[in-house]
Amino acid sequence: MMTPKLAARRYTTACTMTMSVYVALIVGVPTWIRMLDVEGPALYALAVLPSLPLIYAIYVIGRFLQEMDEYEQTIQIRRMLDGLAATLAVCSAWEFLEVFADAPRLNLFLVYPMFCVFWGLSCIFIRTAK
Amino acid sequence: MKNRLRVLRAERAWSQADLAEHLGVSRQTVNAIEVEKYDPSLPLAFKIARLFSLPIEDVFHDDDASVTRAAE
Repeated sequence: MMTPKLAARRYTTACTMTMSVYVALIVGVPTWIRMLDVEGPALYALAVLPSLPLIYAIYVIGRFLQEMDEYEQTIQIRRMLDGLAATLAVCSAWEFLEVFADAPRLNLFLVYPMFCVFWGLSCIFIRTAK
Repeated sequence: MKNRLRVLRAERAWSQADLAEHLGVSRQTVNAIEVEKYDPSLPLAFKIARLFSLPIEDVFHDDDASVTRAAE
């Protein structure tokens, strides 16, 4: 049976491995693109590679949520929803700033870390399931 | 919802961690139920009652008397 402690350990291990692969791909992919001098679909396939660990990280988070007990699951889902709401709010508002006020372009790379930061911040405020 | 979890646990000289292990939940969850910050789901409430060999209403009770039996 997957106990809460085991689930937390598996989550930490999976996150560490996923982020290691991500860093390796971030470093490796530009080099491979230069070395192989690829174009078209092959270039697309190579370019999209670093996103795969990030997508897998979403799966790992989802799996961890399912393995938590019901109380912790409720708290984490509330925190994630708050993080998601804040991210959507900032991105939506920023888009209008770009269109109407010539604000600098928001790099899409920032959206994922932004969600993680807001999710982390929500942990300060959401301490119980009520 | 009120509950007697702390009393029942103390009768068996179990720590929150002991009870959490029996139930397969975290110690934080046991604590949240005991201090009535969290009402467990029906399956978990039944699991707790079964663990103490008690009917569920001997472990948990609701102060809300606004809903009465249909037959009354």
